[in-house]
Amino acid sequence: MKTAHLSDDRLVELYFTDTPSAQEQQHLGQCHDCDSRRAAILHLLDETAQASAEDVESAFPADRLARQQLLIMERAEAAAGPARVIAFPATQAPEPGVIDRARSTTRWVAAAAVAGLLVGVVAGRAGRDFRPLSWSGRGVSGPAIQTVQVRQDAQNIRAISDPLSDDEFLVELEAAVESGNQRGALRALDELTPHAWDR
Amino acid sequence: MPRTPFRRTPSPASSNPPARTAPGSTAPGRTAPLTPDSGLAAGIKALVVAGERDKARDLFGELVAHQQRRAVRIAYHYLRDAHDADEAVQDAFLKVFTHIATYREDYPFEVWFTRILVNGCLDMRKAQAKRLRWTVPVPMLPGMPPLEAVASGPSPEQRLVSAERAVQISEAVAQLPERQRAVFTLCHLAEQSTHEVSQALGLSEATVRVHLFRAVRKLRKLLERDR
Repeated sequence: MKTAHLSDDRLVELYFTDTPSAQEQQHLGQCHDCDSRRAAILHLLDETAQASAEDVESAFPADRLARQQLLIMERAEAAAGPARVIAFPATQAPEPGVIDRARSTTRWVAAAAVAGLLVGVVAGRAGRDFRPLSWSGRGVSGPAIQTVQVRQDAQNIRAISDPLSDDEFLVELEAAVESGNQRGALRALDELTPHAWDR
Repeated sequence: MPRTPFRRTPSPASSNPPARTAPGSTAPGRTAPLTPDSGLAAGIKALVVAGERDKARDLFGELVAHQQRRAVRIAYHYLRDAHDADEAVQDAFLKVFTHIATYREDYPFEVWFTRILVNGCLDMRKAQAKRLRWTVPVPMLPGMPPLEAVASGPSPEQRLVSAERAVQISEAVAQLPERQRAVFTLCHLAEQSTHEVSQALGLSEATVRVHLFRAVRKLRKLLERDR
């Protein structure tokens, strides 16, 4: 019985994973071409494996592998163990007396700073609340004093933002009448007064 | 005519001694661990969970001894640099120890570990690529010794005398595309099954096989050309 030739891929497959079937085995026993191709593939793969092993052997001799194993175990131990506390060198540590003195000085400075701050706050508050008696009558300020500078030239009248109270207005009016320059003063007041024809 | 054997012969480095199973590694009623190292890992996990860190560390030493050579081989083929491979292997083992509580006993330890290692190697390669982006190439001056090849061994003389072919092979492997190289390295050089590789790389088994076939085809082409 004649079976078909085995492909190269099938020969590679036989090398790596599969076992040949009875038919394939029989064919390989009879077919010189297939057997020689298989031998060539086998030779190539064995040669590759050997070269690779030699390559790795030369790069990683036994002592290097042993060193590597040691390092792995050390790293595993470091990873598994508790965290280490690294102590500061003893020479850099200051004397105990120096530490006490430095601490007490720091405390005094801090206490003084806090006391100063408190005194400042209390004094500031007391100063703001304190009002001498002579000021008490002026404590309540009246309405803003509105002044109208009445000048002879009516063009220069300065209008003030808030209107005058009635009393103030009358006082000013009287003062202007008494001053003698009635016409000019009244003209100025007239300027301030709205006119019917302005509307 | 003597016929060549069908299967590869396992290398002595890969044949792990039978690991002793730690107390508590297999709970009553639970199925036996998948591999001896899976049993060891389960034992370490049980000890860590029980708070017996010292005993767990001792057992971890055994696990390291079993897996170290295979790990070095994988990392070296990924990174092509002995120092980086050294660091990657150390980091991977440390991750195993610090995260052993997350290990699932129904999963082969080799697959879990390979995944950790390969991810670490990939991270390292990314970091290498970033570093190289900022490296200014030094011009060769007359009288300056030639720079070592990337895939070189420790001594150029040794290499020239004993392993010229080995250099050719390792350069050919280095020329493989990333995926093919990963699959080839894990299947052939780290001697894992296609199923394990598919689990470790997160690929389907069919994809792993395709990458493996392509890798072998390309290697044949490259090495026949070099002959």
